[in-house]
Amino acid sequence: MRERILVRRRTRTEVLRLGLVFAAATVWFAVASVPAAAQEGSVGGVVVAAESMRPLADVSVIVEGTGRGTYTNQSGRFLIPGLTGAELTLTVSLIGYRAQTVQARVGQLDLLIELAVSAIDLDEIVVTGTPGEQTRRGLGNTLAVVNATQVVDRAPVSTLSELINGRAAGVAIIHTTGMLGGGNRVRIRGSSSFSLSNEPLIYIDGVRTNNDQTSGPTNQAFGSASISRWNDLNPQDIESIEIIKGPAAATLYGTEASNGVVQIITKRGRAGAPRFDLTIKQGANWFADPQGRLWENFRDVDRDGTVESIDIVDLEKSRGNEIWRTGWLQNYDLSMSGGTDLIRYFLSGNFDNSEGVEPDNDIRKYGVRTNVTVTPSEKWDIRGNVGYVTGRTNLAPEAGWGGLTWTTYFARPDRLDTPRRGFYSGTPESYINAFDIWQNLDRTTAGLTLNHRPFAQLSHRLTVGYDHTREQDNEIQYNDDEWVYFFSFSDRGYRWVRERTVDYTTVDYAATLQLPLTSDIESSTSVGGQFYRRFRQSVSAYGEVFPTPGLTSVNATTQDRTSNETSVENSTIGVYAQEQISWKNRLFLTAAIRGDDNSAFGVDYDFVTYPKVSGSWVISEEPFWNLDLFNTLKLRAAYGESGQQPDAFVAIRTLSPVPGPNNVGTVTPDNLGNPDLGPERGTEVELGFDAALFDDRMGVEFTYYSQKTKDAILLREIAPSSGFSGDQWVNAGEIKNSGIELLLRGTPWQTERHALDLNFTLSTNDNEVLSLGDVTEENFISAGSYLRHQIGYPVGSWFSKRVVSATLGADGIATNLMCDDGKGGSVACGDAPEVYLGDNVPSLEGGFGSTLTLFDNIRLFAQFDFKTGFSKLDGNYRVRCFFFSECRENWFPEEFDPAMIAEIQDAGTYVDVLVDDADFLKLRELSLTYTVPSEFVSRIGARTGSITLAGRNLLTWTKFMGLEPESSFNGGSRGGSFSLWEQNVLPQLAQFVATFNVSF
Amino acid sequence: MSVHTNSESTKRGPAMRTLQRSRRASLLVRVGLVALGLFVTAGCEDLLDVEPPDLIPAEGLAIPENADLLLNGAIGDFDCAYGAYVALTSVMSHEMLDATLTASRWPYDRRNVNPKDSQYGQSSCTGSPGIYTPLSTARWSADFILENLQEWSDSEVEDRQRKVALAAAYSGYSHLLLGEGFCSVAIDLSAELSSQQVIDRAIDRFDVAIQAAQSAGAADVVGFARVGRARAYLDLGQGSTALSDAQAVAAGFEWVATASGDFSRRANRVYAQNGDGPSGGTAMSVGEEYREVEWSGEPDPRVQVSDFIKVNTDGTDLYYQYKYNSLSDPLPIATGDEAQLIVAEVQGGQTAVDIINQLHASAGLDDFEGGSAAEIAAQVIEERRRELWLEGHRFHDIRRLNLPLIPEPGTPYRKGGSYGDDRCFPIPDVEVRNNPNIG
Repeated sequence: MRERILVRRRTRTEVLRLGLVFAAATVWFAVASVPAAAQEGSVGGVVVAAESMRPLADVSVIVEGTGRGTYTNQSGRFLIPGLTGAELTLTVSLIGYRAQTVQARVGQLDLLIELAVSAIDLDEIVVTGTPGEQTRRGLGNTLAVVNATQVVDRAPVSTLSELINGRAAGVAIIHTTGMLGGGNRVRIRGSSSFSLSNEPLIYIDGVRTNNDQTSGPTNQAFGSASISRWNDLNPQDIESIEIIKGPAAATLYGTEASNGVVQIITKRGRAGAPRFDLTIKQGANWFADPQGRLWENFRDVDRDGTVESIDIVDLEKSRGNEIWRTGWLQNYDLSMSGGTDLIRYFLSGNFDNSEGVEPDNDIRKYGVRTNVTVTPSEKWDIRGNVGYVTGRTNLAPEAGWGGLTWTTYFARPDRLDTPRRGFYSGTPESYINAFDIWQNLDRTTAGLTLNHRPFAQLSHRLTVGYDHTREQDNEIQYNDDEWVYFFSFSDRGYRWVRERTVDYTTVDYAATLQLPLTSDIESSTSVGGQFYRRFRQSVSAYGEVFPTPGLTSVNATTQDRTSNETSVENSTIGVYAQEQISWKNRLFLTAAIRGDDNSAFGVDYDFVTYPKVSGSWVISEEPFWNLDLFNTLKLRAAYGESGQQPDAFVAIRTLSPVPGPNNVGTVTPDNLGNPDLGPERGTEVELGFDAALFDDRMGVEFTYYSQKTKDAILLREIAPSSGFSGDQWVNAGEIKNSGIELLLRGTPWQTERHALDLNFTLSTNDNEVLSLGDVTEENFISAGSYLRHQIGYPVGSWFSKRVVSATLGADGIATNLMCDDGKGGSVACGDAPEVYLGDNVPSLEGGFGSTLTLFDNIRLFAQFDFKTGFSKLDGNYRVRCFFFSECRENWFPEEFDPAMIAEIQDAGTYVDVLVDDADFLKLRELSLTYTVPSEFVSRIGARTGSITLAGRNLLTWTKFMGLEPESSFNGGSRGGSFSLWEQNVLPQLAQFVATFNVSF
Repeated sequence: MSVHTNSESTKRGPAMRTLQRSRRASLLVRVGLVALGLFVTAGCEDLLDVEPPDLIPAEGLAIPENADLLLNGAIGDFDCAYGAYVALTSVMSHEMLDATLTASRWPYDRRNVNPKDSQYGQSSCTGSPGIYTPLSTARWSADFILENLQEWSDSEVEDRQRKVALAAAYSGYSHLLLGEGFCSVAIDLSAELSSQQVIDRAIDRFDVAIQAAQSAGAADVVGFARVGRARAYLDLGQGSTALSDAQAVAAGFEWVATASGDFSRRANRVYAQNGDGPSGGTAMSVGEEYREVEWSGEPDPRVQVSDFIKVNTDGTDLYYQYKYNSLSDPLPIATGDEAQLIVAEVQGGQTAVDIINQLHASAGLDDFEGGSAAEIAAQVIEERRRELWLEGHRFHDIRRLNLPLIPEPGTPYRKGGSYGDDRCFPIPDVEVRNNPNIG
């Protein structure tokens, strides 16, 4: 406990220091941003929806060529003071509406600007990796855009993955544990790699950043972990997210980009008076209906044939104990933005102090962000971004580690009359008091981008960035007599601490030259070079047995001390060239090539090149177009390649130092190596269209993709008889992913004061192993427990023998087992093959969202999402029935199908009884927002104000027989890239959040 | 630790840079696409240089200067694998019982091992140990240095013959344990080999070891290899051949796997799993057949066990073994007592009685009075059970002598399921799946 107190004290000091820095910066920017000449003129007016004349709030109004601008208030009004000259041009834009440029006179305060609904905005500026402004119309590939500001405004999201979930077709969020701080896995267009990461890259304002999704203390055991670095980002700071989905679009990002790229664009300031936004969230989360979802466990307590059962949740409740609490969620966010023509800023500070449902699970996190744009002249602008987050995440033990879930899920009636009170291992209070598991975090992400436009046709850009993560992971078991009874392992305590740093360095230079070749044809030539470096270092120490209570450091342990230091470094240098030819700004052809070299390539492998070609055609702007149904129609096609490589050193055969006889230093075989190892290569064809229909009331984005990963890298097991252990990385295989993605959005109903907005995403994924190198179709490569890579099946599919019939004897033992022969018949199980049981990647998923606006200021929002066509292993059932003999099936086998009983009694050869369809539909988010009328909020000097009541994970429809269709291990041998294996983890928690937002 | 490589330029750090760098010179030439690029300069190559501070490239390591390093590596690999073998087979033979709450090790206690089980097949020799991979690694390490030592000359390697003998003996023991513990195995990606075939290979190694040790005048290594060869011949049912080796071993001879509490890899694995002390484990308990072992009403000091300690977290009654009393206690690999018991088993009769009584005298026990040939033979086996307790013999004795399995197969297992009838570990799936010469 002493350690924890010290940590908290230090954290408060850090926060105080941060607060002072933030306050000083706020004052400085506020002073610096006061318009210098108050006597200068203003321009103002109101912005309304063209059809309904409904005032539009939060519309961006920018004075062209100055960087000055503002947003409309709740009544649609805006005012930009401090302007000089007589005439100016305003750019007025709002997502979902067609942007407009408006000529105005300085001093004109009665502008009425009507924005027309635009289901597809082809002139939206997007991030592509090249400098200069690239609009959607020139893109040959699809690009998923999440309007983060809007989502945060409506939905109860607190993490980046919650922001994305269900809102971008083809981007799957795979949930893991319901524990607060637990990370998720992200898959874009299925699994494209056997053994390398399937996680996309993350860029924040052009800087490549740490995308680890499994960090932290291994509180889940089985090699898995729980904390995701994705959770470090504060959704309130994000303006938008753009997701590049596959090799066809990610070519310019080169090696490592084949899983897609997530571009995060943080908020920036606009010239004008300071704008303050304060958001306060208060809420709660809880384990919904544990009594109804958990199970009775059985045992023959006295071994006399009398079977007794226990429902520990009910029992504890009757004793006045709640196993899981209702966790209090609180989040505070304050931001300030504004500036002058010269300098614009966005500053924010955030404090998150939330509790999980387990009493020792909570987060206390502080974050600040400063984004500054300096525009010394029309030719230059300089953008600087610094984000810092610090805090502590306390985790509860779970999964193979034990913990409240373990001791509750597997409670036993034969432990009722013991100090365990019926719990399987320790009592809840013993886990809570005997252990602490936590991670301290300090993370700084900084980037500086110089944009230079020496003349109208040339723009070039240099981005330099650094992302530094310092994690301190901690586990401790205290030496405490009170809890010795419950924990045989190291019952006198242990301590483990690890300092892990992860550094990403980005240097990115690119230039674009745009030249008109004729009056109709324009050329845009881009070249660029990037250097990326990733360095991970980890230093840890461990020791057991504290001689007396009260000691908590490794130095104070007396037994089995170990220490470890590892580091892994990887660097990439890449260059690219791209040429885009456009005809009349409606037909675009783009070709590019990229070359990369990487420090992880084997000695016999040289650098790699990736080509790309794409085209887009805004056919609806052609003179011959006469289909009135389509207001806009853009056809697009793209082909591209990108790649991915393993970490450095894996290509080299190595030995590692170990202590030998009499503790002398010796070596032992370590990594077998592979001198021919090269990157795997993703190739993709993408076809699709973007369309606006029904007078711009409905937008459609449709994409078909077909992707292949060639030279797929396989972490192939080594036969131990070779003398080496573990795995060897080999280029040996080919994987196919294909499918469609559909995005529909529209406003089917709109009046002056009411509107209904709908959006729907749907994606399919057909994943198949095409080749495994020299492995034939009849054979396979193991992908983990009961998982295979096999030609003709999805990557990492479930396989085992399946019992189809058995005879149950009078003794309750199943005999005469007959198994599926894989050909539609049956065969004696001893001779039966392992058959396909299902795969882990959903073949169909999507989301449906609707926003109903009433009387301008009441908004009801609902978001559903669903996944189908995948299977999950119910590890809780496995533990209870296969190993602990606690299931009703163990004690009353005559009540069940003998084939099922046969699988349970064998306890390992057959897992058909465990692998189940995990299809589900969830009411993910539901919210009601009341926007306080301007006349009320203006009384406190505010510009806008709103109150939102929201719920999360409120309803689930599923046939999955386990506890939860989504929860699973995150990483590790049973939860790696493919496995959906749920065992002793919390389900996704239900949540209620009230949000109060006010802007000044 | 001193590591030598075959040239100065390939020492650890520079070696890695060289390996990584050697093919990058053509980068700029071959990527002729870029007109602008701030970093694409001659100095860029250095940006790709990386160093592994905790790994040693294998290239260039096999040189005479590293003979001691590699030989010690092989011995260290064996010592760790041997500790794991003793600990895990003690559960299979019920010298010890599993006392863990989680189920991963219950199949060993229950004697029904699934070839898919990754622990015995793939786990390392530390922690909750595996055996197939550690023994295979130990076998490879010993054979690797043996081959090199046989190629190097006496002028290049000091005491080369003794080192050859040691490498061959450790290779022999690695082969021997693979043969005894597994129903079948593979060696160096070979086809599946029966226990007999592997033990034949062990004998070949012991032949080399004895010859080299005799040439070097290394009597201790000769004794080490003789005990191994006698054991191997006994396994093959060639008692008379075993006899000459066993008889040649001095009564007080002992060769051990050293241990240390300083490093997990070097710890006495039995004590780490079950030991009365702050660093001793409670993951195992003493088997029921070993809790009150007596002779003539007196406790047998060769099987010292505590009184009942407590009911462990998994419901198993916890008892401590006192054969090993710290993480630093060495584990005997080959002893004169074992050799004597081989002699007793082969010769039987009064010779066996005399040997038994010598062992009893050492332990302070009353004499064995003898009996029929069968009774004497049974007593020899009982003496092996006691004398060689927790030394890695009982599991194979049960198989070799077809001793009854206790509890009987089919008996309900206390933590779920029922007892099986495994008398050896199946060849692990990880070998079958990935060995091109199997299946």
